[in-house]
Amino acid sequence: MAEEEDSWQHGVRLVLHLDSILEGDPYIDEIGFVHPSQLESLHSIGNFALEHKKPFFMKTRRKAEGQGEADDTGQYAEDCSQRNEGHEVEAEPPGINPDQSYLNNVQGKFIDFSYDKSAFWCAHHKLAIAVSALAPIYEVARKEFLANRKAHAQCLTGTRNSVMSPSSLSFQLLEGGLCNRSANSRANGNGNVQFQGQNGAVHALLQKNLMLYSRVLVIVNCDFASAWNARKRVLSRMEATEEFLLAELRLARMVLAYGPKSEESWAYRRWIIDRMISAGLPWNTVGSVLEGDSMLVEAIAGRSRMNYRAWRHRYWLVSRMSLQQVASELQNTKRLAQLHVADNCCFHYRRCLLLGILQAGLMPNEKNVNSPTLVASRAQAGLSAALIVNPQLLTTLWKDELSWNRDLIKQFFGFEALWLHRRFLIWGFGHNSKIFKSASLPVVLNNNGSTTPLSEGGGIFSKSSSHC
Amino acid sequence: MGSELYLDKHVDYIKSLDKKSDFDSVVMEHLRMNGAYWGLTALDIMGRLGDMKVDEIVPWILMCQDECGGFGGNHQHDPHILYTLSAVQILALFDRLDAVDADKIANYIAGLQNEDGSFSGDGWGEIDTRFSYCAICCLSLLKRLDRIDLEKACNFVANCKNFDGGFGCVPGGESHAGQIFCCVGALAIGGALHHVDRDLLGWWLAERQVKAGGLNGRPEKLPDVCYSWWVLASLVMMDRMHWIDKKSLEQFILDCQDPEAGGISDRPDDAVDVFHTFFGIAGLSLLGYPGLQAIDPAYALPVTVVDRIFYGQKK
Repeated sequence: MAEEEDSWQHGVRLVLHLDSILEGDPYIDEIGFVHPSQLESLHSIGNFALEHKKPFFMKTRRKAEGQGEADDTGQYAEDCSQRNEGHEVEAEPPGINPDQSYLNNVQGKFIDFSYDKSAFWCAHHKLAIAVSALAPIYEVARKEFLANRKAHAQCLTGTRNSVMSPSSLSFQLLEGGLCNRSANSRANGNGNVQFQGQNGAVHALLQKNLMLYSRVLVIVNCDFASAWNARKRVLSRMEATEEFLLAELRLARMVLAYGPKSEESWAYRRWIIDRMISAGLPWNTVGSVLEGDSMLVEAIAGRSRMNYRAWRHRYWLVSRMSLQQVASELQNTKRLAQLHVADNCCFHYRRCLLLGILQAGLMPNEKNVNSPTLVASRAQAGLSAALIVNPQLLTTLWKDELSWNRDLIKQFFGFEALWLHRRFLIWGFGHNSKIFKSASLPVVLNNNGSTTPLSEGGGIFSKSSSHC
Repeated sequence: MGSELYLDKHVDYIKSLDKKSDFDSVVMEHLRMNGAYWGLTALDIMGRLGDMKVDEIVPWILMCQDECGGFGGNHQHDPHILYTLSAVQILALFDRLDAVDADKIANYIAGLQNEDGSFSGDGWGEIDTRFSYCAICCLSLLKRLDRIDLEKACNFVANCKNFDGGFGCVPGGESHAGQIFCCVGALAIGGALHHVDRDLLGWWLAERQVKAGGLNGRPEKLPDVCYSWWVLASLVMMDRMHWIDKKSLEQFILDCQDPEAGGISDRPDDAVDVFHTFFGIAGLSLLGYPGLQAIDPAYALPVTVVDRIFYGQKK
């Protein structure tokens, strides 16, 4: 069993198994790190039913030894450092990740080979890895990644007939036929594999290795930026097919399932989406990716409250959305905001959407460079045209938001997020008199009994006024 | 919990960190440069930097430099502006800025500035006001602020100001105390603090103090020791530190110590780490806690180090 191998060989075997599992089921959407005993119980359960609308792996907050269970207050904790949140989780029965629509028409491949059941469990597109397997996997993946990256870089600078001084893993891969074998490779007397013939064959092998190890690395350490960068480098050099880029998005999603605050993973999604846009992928595809990402943030924000990184990603999406999408986002997030009145992130997102629509109303034909709103090429149809025809539309939107906010405050008095939102709405009126010029605006009551429409410079802090 | 600072325990805790080989520590290797900055600066504020071996640390830092001039988080890791700042800060601590080619670093950073004045973190393009702070702070320490378009850089930061006076990571980004520190720090060093509405932002920052005395980073969040730095340093730079209750904040930080093993955690009874240890110590220093060196709120380095660079005596 495992004790017989030395630890390097053990790690090598685990890396190979992990890679095979990932190749075997390209639609894995959740990964969790579990205690070995939990893995045992997963294997012993017969048929799963995907019943619960919970995420598969519930994370618990890391505590030092001997301290109690995480309480609810952990939900609102800030992740200020870049550390992982820790690997102890409970293995709950499998839940449904809300954004699984792409699975409806997809047949996941069967995992029909045997893998180390003391280290992995995989079913229903969920993957569990035993915490004890992480260190050996990481050690091997890291070393192989760095070695292959170096060799790949040398290969690119045109070193011909490069003798790859391999670790045992790459050698095993060749022997096991698990990668593209160069027809001209052979082992020479002292165990080094020497590639002759075209550099292209070496390049292909190294590139494949890079993608293999970097994938394992980011799964085990999602903030290992150099691994994500290596993938970007490879992707930059190849033709960006839709299938390939979507697969990369699935990888990032997998990682975000257990590391929802991983800045590197979110940044990777943005890079991939921008690559899709610059590669000229059909707008339908991009649009549905944007929508999917928005839903992903919502799902993740549901269990990782006020996650700054996740929400930051969501309002980055707004800058790439069409006006129709922005308007429907505004509609769709209303219910969410009502459920989480303490969640400033959610209200801030609505502010971004409102500002986006405002921006379109102010400058319907202008390209947006600095503002976090709408890319010009998208700001064409729909709402923009409607705004020109009916400027009251924006005022109505704004006033609706204001009165909805008032109702929430009455119901949930004392939540800072609600008051902050109200300040924004009133500020918005004050700073955009061009759009909001109308006699039916909220007014400010002055000390002398007269009223001033809010759009006319009545400052929120001005001494001569009080709120209506 | 008590009301004393367990200084020796914290020193021992920081010195013990390098020897850890458990998985959770190993998996932090990509940000070791940051960790080194946090640990070493904390030691310097506690007056114990001399316990560390500068002759081992400086060569390691240099090994982390990429040929493009930027520094990675560790040996063989890709360069990034975050680690470049930490590397320069550590060298400043040891008065070893002479060990690097300042022009090369300045060129790297200048190359990361975009048309709109913002800075990318690395060649892959992510923009964040944190990177603006890294650029301005680092170049200032190297006395090469003229290598970038400083006015544009500050204007970009100013564009990230929100209706509540706070700053986010990009224009329109949610106000967040960490981002606010970076923006206020960048504007302070860049000589453009007039963009900050001190009363409005001061109010938002003062609202971060919760009943128990700690500071949070955004509305409705739990207090966290690291905000003792982000919020407090911002208030100091804006001359509004008197807007919070210093005594209860001090007590909150002291309550976050681990009296046995040393180190400080994000809130009482949680596990400690070097990040929160540094920011807790730094926060106490800003509050004037006795026995600690003064820390500069903009550069996040001991005042003696900053003075040495700008008014300095040669070694």
